[in-house]
Amino acid sequence: MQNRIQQLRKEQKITQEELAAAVQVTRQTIISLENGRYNASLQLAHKIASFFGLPIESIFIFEEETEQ
Amino acid sequence: MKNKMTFPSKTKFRMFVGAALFFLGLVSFILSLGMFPNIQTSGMQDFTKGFYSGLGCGLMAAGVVCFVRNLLLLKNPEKMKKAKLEEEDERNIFLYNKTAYLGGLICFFGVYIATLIAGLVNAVVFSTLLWVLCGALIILFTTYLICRKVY
Repeated sequence: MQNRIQQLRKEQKITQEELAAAVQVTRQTIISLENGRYNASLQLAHKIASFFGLPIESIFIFEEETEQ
Repeated sequence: MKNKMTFPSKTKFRMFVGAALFFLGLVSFILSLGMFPNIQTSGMQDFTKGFYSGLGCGLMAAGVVCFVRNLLLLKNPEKMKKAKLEEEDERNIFLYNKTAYLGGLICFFGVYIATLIAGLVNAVVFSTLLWVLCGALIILFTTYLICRKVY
């Protein structure tokens, strides 16, 4: 699943460490999320969305073509 | 099912586990030296004695490390916060579960192949491995039923 975490983080000039601390995960998890190697749980997705003040679906892009 | 223990409580419990490991290691080491009265160890092979003494030393070392590490965590709130984050990080939990699943599967098939080979070589080893295999299957199935009910 693709996401806009890196784009939003850079726009707001936030480091991976700061974002990780804010959503209570390790920096490695943020790296894996940004690389698309790991999919966040609903709980983590919600925390990230709350942090950026945006709805979940505007951060995490669910592509139906990929799933098919 | 959420774990209700707080992280400081878990840390204290692990200190207790470290102490228990140290004690178990000490018992194993003393057993290997044949110092327990009423327990005959003269029949033990050198290899078995060596195994018990090595196991004992290993457990004692692990117990000390476990105890000291958790004691240091209790005394340093910043380190405890970092350790808590590492332990409760969802990706790390996912990795532990994935590792346990894949590792368990590989071990299970390894024991199965070893059982097949042992059947051609040694009857005692064959029957021991077969019991281990059957025991593992029963435990796996029972665990699955329990997890299905709980989750």
